[in-house]
Amino acid sequence: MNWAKLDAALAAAVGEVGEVGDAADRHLAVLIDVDPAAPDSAERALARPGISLQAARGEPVTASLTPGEVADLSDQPWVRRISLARALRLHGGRQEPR
Amino acid sequence: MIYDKIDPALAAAFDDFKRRGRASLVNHAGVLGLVSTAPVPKPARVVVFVDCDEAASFEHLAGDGGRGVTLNQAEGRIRTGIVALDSLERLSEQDSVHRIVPARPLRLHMDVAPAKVDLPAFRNRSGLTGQGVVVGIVDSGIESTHPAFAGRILRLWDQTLPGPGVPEGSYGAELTGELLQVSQDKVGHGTHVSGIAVGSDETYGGVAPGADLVVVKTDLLDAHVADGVRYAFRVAAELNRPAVVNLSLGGQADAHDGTDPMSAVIDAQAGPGRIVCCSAGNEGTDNVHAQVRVGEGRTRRVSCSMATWSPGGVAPVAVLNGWYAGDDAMAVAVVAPSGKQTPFQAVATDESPVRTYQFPEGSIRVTTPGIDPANGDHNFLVEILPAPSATGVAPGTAASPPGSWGLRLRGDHVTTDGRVDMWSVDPTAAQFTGKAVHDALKIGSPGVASRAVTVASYTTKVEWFDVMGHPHEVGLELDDISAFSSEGPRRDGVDKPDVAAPGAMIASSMSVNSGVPIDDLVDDRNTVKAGTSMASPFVAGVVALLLERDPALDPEGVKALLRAHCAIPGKPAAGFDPKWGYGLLDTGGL
Repeated sequence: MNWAKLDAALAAAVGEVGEVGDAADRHLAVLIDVDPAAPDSAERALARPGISLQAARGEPVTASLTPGEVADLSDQPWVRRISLARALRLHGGRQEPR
Repeated sequence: MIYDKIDPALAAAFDDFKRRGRASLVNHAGVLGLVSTAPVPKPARVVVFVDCDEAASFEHLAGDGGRGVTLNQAEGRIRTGIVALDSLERLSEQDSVHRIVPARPLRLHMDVAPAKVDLPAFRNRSGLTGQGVVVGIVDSGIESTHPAFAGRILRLWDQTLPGPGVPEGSYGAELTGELLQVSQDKVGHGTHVSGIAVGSDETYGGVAPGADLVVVKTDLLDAHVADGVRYAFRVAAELNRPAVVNLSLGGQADAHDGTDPMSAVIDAQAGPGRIVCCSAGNEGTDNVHAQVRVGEGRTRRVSCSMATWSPGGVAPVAVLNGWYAGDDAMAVAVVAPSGKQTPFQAVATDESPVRTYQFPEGSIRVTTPGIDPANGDHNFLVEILPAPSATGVAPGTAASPPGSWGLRLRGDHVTTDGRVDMWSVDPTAAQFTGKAVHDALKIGSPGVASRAVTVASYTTKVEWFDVMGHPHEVGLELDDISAFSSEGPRRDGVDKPDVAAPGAMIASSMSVNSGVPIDDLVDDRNTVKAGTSMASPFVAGVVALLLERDPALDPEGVKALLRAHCAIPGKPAAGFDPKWGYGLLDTGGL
């Protein structure tokens, strides 16, 4: 695991050292920032977890990965960063005081 | 007659009619929808709303020659119709009837938003309707059967349904035609937003009623919202049409400088004929941002108030998201209300940066990784799950328990001004208190995306009459920037928001699956809402009009056009304000 490539939220989600194995079955929604100059082998490596790099060259790709897959990808030189997908909020329907 | 079920104005008219006959109705004609007061063969009748049981039938009350009760709908909770005054008693005595309210003349202030930004003048002069443009709505879904969108929803990707997905993401289901109804908007937000942008309605019509829709019902994960943006633009490209995508959503978990992955997707996807509009956020009155400066070898404390909770309730998890310059190195400690403190945790690069601590007051997890390669800065995360207590209290209130949680920051290596910015990701779980509270930099992703048009909210209406004729008023300042609208700029100083547009109180399309309270209903198909969510689709609609005129308009061109037609009251032209952006949009001169 190359912790330097995980954003803080993903590092926290994957857990402390020694806990990664316990969470092997968990799937984490992530965004992967791939070097635009990634070699062809990158496409094959990403295809295994079902990620299509072809369609999104130059911008982050989304994926659902296990902590083990996160660890494997973080060790690849052509992966720049892996970020945990975060929940957003709708910006409407405020209940203003009446 | 059951007077409890009759609106007071209608009851007064009925009494007059009974005592003094038809001629007395002239006194009430100005405020009630009376069909005829003149002495003609047809009986005196009144147009009414009837609040009744969903499946109630009134066929047995229908009469001949304009007598009796004639309702326009055979089912539904709120119905309209014409009732002979002589039949009012019988109608009120039906068990299935809850209330009868007369129709009233429409008031201009029910739909003032377009006029306040001179939109009618722009549309009349230009003849633009958004025809040929795709408006993408990534939101809570849409009520596809709403008449405001009839025949104009081209595709719908419901990310929450089981299915094979689409090329942009192998999850959810893509729906078209009659299958659109499989997807429901149970929140109502997406339907309302869609109506503001493109709704077709005589009273509460949208900005670009000629545009078509591509809708994504999202699960609100930023990764899936990003997929939704890609989907909408891809569908538009296949149709060889320009598109504007509206994102009335956001968060506080990012770096607030446009370098997060979702912003990167938006910046990569936007271009000629591909525009993204985002809401600025509604944290203007929440203490979600704190800022301190930590010197070399010094420590600073930032206090925050956490929500408490009772066993059996929902546990709030406070997530505090901190950022500072990559040239500096800070250590982080957490102080519990008892005064007990975690060890200072420094930046960790060669091992897991995550540590968990168990205190009687709660569980604490601190994450202090190395530099983020996207922006070269440090990010740290503090997550607190308070232990349950006897009562639940909202954060930041006077009733918060004595003592508060705190962060302590130690400057292990400081070569810059030592500035540290922190955000509470969930303001219902935690808010900052004390001197570190900073009312700025509250716009998060996607509103911080460089190439997005980010929209603040301006209040154009503070009162309305609901469908039963009751008046309502909210405590916002009329004709001013909405207090709840989040302030910019970005953490790196870039100007955000871009423009302000009407965001309160806005009447627009209602989803029948969303359970809207009667107070917020303005008629049987439209409801009022407030938020920067309402302001963003207004601008998205304007962008759709501009794209109809110039399909190759790019984000920079759109921003330049809009900024040239904005103004902040009392400020010089082209000035920026963290709350207003470049000001309230004035479309008259576009």
